[in-house]
Amino acid sequence: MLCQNCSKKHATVHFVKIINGVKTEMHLCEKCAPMAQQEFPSIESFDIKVSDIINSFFGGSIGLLSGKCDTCNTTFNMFSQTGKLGCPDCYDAFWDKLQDPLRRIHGGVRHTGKIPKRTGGKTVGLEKLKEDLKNAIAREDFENAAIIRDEIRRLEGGK
Amino acid sequence: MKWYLDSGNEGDVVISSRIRLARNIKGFPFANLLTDEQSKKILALIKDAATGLNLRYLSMASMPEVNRRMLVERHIISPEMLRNTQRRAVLLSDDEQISVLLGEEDHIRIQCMTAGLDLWRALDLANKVDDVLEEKLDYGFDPRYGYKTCCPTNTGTGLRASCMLHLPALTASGYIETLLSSAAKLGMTVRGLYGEGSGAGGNMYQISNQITLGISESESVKRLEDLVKVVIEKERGMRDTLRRENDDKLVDMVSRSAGILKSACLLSSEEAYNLLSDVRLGINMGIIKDIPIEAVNELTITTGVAHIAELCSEDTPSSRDKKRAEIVKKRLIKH
Ligand SMILES: [Zn+2]
Ligand SMILES: [Zn+2]
Repeated sequence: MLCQNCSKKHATVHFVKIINGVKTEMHLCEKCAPMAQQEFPSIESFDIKVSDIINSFFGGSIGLLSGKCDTCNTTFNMFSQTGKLGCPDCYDAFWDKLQDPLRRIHGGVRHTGKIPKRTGGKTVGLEKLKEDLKNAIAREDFENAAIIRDEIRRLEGGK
Repeated sequence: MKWYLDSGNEGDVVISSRIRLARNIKGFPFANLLTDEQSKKILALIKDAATGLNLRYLSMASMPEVNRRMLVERHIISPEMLRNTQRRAVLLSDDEQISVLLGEEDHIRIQCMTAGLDLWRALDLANKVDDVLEEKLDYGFDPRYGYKTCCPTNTGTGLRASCMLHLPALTASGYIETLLSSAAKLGMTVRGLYGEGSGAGGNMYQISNQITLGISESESVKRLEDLVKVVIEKERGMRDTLRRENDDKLVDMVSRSAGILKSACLLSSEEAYNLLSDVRLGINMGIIKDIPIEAVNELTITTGVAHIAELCSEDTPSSRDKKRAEIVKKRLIKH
């Protein structure tokens, strides 16, 4: 049997990897084995298949997969296959379509953590929020709409 | 001194804690779509921003292959960094506690490691590095969904907190299976590696958080810490049970393993890893008294294939196994 990593050498080390109770077998050569042994594989590639999640929402309906990021030319279709975005601007280009997958992955859709000081701790502008709200209602995404509405109220109340 | 020689809080079960923050620079594609030119530019920008941090800049391409693999064995870089070395570099502190991976999936991955259960100090360190970098770098960030990362699984805080645990008793009792599935329900991942045949390979497991959006950094760390504390108690309880019910067998097993390490003339990396796990258990349970835990911490790293290969004039499995046995013997008999 050949090594599953380099496909060059004979596999001499056999691992059974268990992640969240799911077993995967790995057959590696002398040289590749210690890498697998010492460093655990990156979390993204094993636990959550982002592409599966996206396809569970948009699978089959080609029309829904349309859309492209003008900055890096990544299309939503490409993203749905790789599960990787192309650049920071992709988030804006695919924002509406990203809501459901993000909620499926994380449970939440709103950042509540650290904010870079350079942004001045600035939150989202009212106009952008109102646009988000309109889009959320159009998508019948009422859970998100309620969160955005509260944010708008907080901002308006603060003035 | 390298951080990993130390035994930290709850060091009888927790080997190390790690915090990773993923960051990207605005105006550039994520690492997999960068052109060579952009990639050079980004490396230069980050190197410049890190000037005040007192970190060594190591370009992956200019390093011998065996040294790169040594960095993997010391958990400084991910195996992914071994590919595309032209575009990758690491910023490293002298004690190797802080490393900043450049050009991996995200432009910047800040990593801070501490011995034992010490997630808060690791988080504090990572935040300090992050604060310095963001003074000069414009991160891809949006107040609604946080730090923009290449993979949506990191969106938000971009934080991955993890602990490396030594769980020989939970593994031996089979309770580990229950733990694996219940951790998933809490939004945590447990991963472990098993060697076939011989049973548990090193009995090492990594527990980490999965969720990064809609949760703050401290909340993520708190949840992981709570889970790890439960696991520590379970492991200790199971060790006590082993001691009560199977004392002779346990003492025999760890003493034999220490004996083999002290006298073998050939040791494969897998065998050394398993024997060191037994000896670690023996020391932490007070059975083995003539080997310091620091020696086990050190050997767990220095018996890796790349670390041994670097010391061998001829890099073949048999010359490595011989060298490994030599190194182990020397360390355990002298200390
Ligand atoms: Zn191989
Ligand atoms: Zn893009």
